[in-house]
Amino acid sequence: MASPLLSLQGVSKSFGGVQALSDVSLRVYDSGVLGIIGPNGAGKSTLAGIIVGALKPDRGKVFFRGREITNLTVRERAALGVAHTHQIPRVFQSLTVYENLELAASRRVSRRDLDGIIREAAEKLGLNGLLELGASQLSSGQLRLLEIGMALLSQPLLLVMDEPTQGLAGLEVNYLSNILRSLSERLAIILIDHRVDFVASLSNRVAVMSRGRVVGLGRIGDVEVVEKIEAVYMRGA
Amino acid sequence: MRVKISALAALVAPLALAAVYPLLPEYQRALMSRVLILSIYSYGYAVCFQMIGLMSLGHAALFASGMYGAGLYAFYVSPDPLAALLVGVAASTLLSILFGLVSTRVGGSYFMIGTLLASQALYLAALHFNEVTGGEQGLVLKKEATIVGALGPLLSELDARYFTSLAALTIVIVCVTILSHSRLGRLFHALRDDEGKLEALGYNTSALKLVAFTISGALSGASGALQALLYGYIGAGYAGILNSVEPVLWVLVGGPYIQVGPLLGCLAVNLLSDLARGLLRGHVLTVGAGLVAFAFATGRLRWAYRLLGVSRGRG
Amino acid sequence: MFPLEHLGLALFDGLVNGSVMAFIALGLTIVFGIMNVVNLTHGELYMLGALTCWLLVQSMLPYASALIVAPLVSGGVAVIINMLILQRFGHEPGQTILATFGLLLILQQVALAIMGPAPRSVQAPFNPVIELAGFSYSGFKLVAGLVSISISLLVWLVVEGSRLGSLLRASQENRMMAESLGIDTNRVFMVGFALAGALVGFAGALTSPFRQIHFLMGFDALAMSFVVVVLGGVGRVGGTITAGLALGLLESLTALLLTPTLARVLTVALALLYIVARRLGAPRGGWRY
Repeated sequence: MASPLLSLQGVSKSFGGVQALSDVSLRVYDSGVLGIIGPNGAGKSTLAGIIVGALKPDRGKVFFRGREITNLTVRERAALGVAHTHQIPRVFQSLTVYENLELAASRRVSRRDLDGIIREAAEKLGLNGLLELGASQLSSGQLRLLEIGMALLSQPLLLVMDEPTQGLAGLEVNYLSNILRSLSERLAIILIDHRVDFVASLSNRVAVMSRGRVVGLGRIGDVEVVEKIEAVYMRGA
Repeated sequence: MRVKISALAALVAPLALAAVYPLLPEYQRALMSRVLILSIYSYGYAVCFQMIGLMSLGHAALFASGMYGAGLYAFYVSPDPLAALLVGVAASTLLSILFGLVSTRVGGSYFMIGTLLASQALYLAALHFNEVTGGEQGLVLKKEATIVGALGPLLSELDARYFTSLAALTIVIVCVTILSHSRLGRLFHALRDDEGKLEALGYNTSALKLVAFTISGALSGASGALQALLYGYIGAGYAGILNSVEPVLWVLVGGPYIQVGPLLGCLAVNLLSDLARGLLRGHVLTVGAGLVAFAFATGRLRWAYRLLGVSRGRG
Repeated sequence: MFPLEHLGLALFDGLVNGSVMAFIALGLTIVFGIMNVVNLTHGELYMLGALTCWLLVQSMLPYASALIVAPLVSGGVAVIINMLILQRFGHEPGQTILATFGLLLILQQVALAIMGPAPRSVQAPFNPVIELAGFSYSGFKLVAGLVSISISLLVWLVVEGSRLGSLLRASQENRMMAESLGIDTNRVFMVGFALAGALVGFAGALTSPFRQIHFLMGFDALAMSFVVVVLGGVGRVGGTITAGLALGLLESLTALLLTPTLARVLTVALALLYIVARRLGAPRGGWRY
């Protein structure tokens, strides 16, 4: 198989004596969705932090396109093509939707193409009617879409999404599903969410986490993975 | 729409200030000239505080570096006000790059403590070298070394002060208005909103902070240099803590629009404290009480709330 | 020429001054270091202690009475500031800095109204000249140094060893959590402010006989306290004491070669460099996640 886009080798992280991740190894390839599920406190957000560079592992290494990035900052990883979205969407409140998207795109896109690319992205996400609105006037669903739009306009190779359905209503979740499905053909997505059905419906592969370890890894149809999911959620093991 | 109105107001404000001058009695003319010079300082402070959300507790040092740069040049080197002005601005620009390199690398309350300590160090140094600087007593420049002196043949002292400060202020207002509507200005606002997010989009936020801090320092220094060259006096008092505190209040009182806010705030505070001279024990108490009042009002003012990083608990 | 014969005196004086510096900074360690409240009035509380001392001695009361009244005054003012103002907005950093910045100016003006612009002084209650190896030293200042270091060590023991320290830390770290554990965080903060104010008020009275009393004296005390607290490691009482002593020594040794003012400029510059070198307050690799 081709060399992985991202790989984690034996990554461990503890906070004040609490082991948040222990000896986690993972590989992510150029496209498709890797879902990460597990109960609260399983280490999902810590894992996201390690991948995007907000946290440094105590042990283990992180590689991106064959290059070690363990000690790179968030900014340096962003320049290499790692983007992420947060549990609570983070956008620039005092700027308009358009300006938010512009800031995200303008490091990658020439000034001439900027406007076209922003409008195209807005169209795809259904934000085109809102471009001149201040970001502080958006609903939580719209904020979510704006943050995703910003992440995409930075033209990443890997998108790490931490709990993207949080705060979304049922219809909005469906809408988001459709968007992510079409995105996953072009880039790699790591999808962390507590909604098992949402993750399952989108993911090519799923990693099941519990107490800082990856306890199951495979395609969603695998009997073994289903058992692990059940075990983790039902019996809390 | 709101942006356009505030930009328009920024252009109207200098015209209004010029138009009102003939109507003012002599005392108010003198008072207003002082306030106009300080308004430049207010804009300078706002570039740092309002645009990128960094509250410096040591801007007096930057103001004073402009004042000393210009004043000492005019006193010791050559009685040429224009060259002195440039030296003053250059001195404050250099110092703010130095300050900025130091202080934008640390976070939260350490930025404030750092700027506070740096300005205290400069203040003590100004006192220590009192044979050169004149210390607390200060130095009085010869009249021909000042702008007032250079304009002497054309304008009366009062007119020269008022219109020189107004001209300089107009340039500053136009520059700040352009800056706030530029791409750099948007980056500054984004930095204030969420530094981590901007970094995650690949921007070098330390460099951005340094740029904003330097612009801020250069404007503050220009204000100090003008002060020295229009009044012909430099003294260590301007490097003291009070001069660092005041612009915080001006910017807060001025309101959310950076195109006009720093001017309005500076006007309001200084005119009010002038009115309150008899009532309270002078200017300092007005500023002190104003800050305490504003700390309470912040809970109700959304923009001030955001500016102070209250909702995010930035310490 | 290096005045070698002054070295003994410089070392000794440095230790005494260092003890006093650490003592003055102690309250800031509690309020800023442990409770994470940037209280800019700390220096003014010190000035109030000195002012109280001057007022009492002026009205013919014994100096010793100041050592009791000054802590009450400064501690009381600290408690009032906390209760009427800072507590109202939950010690949010931005609002706290605004308010304490304003209060700093107001307290200065109150002091100016009471004692006028001229520097004042207080006679030491006793002041035998003590002959030490090769130099003589003010007996009162020596006692003040010993008292400073003793109380500082005592506070260190209390904060690190008793429930108070952990209560202060817990209330600062997670207010909601502390409240849900049944801790009255408002009361904990109140105790912290009272203790900090009383300590620095006591320091104000203690140092009055060998320092000038002036309405602007507080700001320098604030700046130096920040230097001491930051150098000692924020929140560490033991570190504050060590840093105070080290800075005292550094200052009096540099003052052998330079003037005292320049020595202080250097000390402050050194502290700044330290803050930057350690990149304090800036989390590695990004700000928030």
